[in-house]
Amino acid sequence: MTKTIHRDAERLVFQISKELYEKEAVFAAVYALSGECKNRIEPGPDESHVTVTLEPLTPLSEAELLHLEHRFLSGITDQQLRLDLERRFGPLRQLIVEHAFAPLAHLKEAVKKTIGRD
Amino acid sequence: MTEPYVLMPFRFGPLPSGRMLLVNEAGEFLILEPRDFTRLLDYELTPGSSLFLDLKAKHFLTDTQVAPVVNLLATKYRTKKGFLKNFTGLHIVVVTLRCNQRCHYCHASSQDMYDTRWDMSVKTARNVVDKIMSSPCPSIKIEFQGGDALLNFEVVKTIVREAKRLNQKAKKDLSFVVCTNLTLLTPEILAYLKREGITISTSLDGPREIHDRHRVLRTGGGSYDLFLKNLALARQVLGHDQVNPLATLTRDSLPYLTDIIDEYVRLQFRGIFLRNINLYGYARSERYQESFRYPISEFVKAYKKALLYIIELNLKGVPLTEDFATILLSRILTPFSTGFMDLQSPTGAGIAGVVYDFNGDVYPCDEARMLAKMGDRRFYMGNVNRDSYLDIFTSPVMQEIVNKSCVEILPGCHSCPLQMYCGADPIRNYAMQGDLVGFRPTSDFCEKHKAILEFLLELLADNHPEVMDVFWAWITNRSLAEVRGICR
Repeated sequence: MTKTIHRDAERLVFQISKELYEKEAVFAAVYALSGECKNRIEPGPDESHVTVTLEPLTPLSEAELLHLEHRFLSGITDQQLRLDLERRFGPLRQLIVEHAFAPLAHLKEAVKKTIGRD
Repeated sequence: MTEPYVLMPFRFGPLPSGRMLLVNEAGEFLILEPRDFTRLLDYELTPGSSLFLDLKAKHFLTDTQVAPVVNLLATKYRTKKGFLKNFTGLHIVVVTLRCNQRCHYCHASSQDMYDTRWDMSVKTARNVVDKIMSSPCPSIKIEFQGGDALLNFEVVKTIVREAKRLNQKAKKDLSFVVCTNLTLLTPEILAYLKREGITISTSLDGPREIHDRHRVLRTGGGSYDLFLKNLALARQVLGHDQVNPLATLTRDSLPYLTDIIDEYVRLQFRGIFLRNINLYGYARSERYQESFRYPISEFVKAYKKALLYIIELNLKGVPLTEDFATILLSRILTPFSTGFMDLQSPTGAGIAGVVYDFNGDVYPCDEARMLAKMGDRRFYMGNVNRDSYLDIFTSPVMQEIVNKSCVEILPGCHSCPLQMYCGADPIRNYAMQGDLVGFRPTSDFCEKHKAILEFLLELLADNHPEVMDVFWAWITNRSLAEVRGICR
């Protein structure tokens, strides 16, 4: 389960489910906020969680903290979705770029091999 | 169960309005309501629905054979990246650092107008031309910069003569631009420019009180009156549209953008390029930091307001383009490759354009030359008097900046939906943040381009017919009447 476990003027602490979110998604979401916050990613209380702490560089109001919390939580969801989608169509993207600069002789076969259908 | 359609590759992200932006490898975009985005990903769209057909038409999905769509997207992707094929087309030659003006924000760190040590020699000029004409690019533009290029006009003439001579064999599309503050123009110089087909690029910051605030003569006083007098003369000789200005916007000019725009209209310029100041050269000196160093958010806010004002002017029958928006809109709305050195992936520096300093040193862009002038020769590529074309253009510096300027792999850019419209500037990253890759969360470059691109995309999503007509007039370089099909 992913949840906010602490929120005050100085920091936001999240427990992130490793089952739902991959390391790349968590790192990318934290990176996006690293101009505004001092961030830490640490092992969670158990093996299936990781703890993320965001400490705003300037004091935030309650509304701003809520906004930051929302941005982080939607940020990791977006990042995870990007990873999921990349698994769905990433190989096709590779094929498009490859075919653009070095046209493939047997494109139909290459597509079938890549996504399992033509 | 087999899915009813195949999702084709795209990148996505929320816009400030909450709508979801989708952009594919060809740079085609759609903006969806969040619920429709979820339905797309869950394969819940109804085949034949208008949304389904929109997504299919722009290759975000297909319910037919995949290979033809891959083929089409590959062709479009290759077209978008067409600027890579031609290699370096813009060659900026700094013929002198001498200038009769001492603008407070001068990037080039101009020098005293009588100190000829800062002039390019004829020998160096010939070697510059030799390198330029070795470029594989079929279209070559040579831009003379300074200082003020007119102060070493004999070398300008040498370069024009030599380039044209070599071009009799090379047969490239060759053009010339001279960058000047206009104040040193004479009828003789203009007659030469006219004869050789050379256009003028100049600077106009706004009405007198704004222009003269930072663009001052070394002898004292502002340059505005002289600029106006010689603008009229230049237009008379060269033709009205052969003189094009750029505006540099300091913090103190931001509240007066409408006055600046009105001045461009009054002087009947066809376009204005609203650009924030670059913190290089004299712009880094202590004295005017209050004016020159400002949060990029202030510029973006003023830019958005100014853009809406320019659109309004167009709709009232006053034709004026905003040139930065025009470049971005061309990228968003057309399938073509748009060369814009400052915003390409990999970077345009060295690939799209290159700079030859007065002493023959070669740099990938003007900013790299300015860094060298400030004591940091990190981006020095070689010297025309000592090195071969291949040595210079395959130098380790070039390889490094290309390697570190592909947005497809940069942190913060690699999954950004704006990637196809944006680019990287490793030299700016280095100058501002100390490393070529840069750090997007605190990057002014990223903040500015993201905000302006998102603003334009939201305007496109609103699809207001009158605004769209203005945008298409800008992109296609036609009048509003022509775009609307109401002219003869």
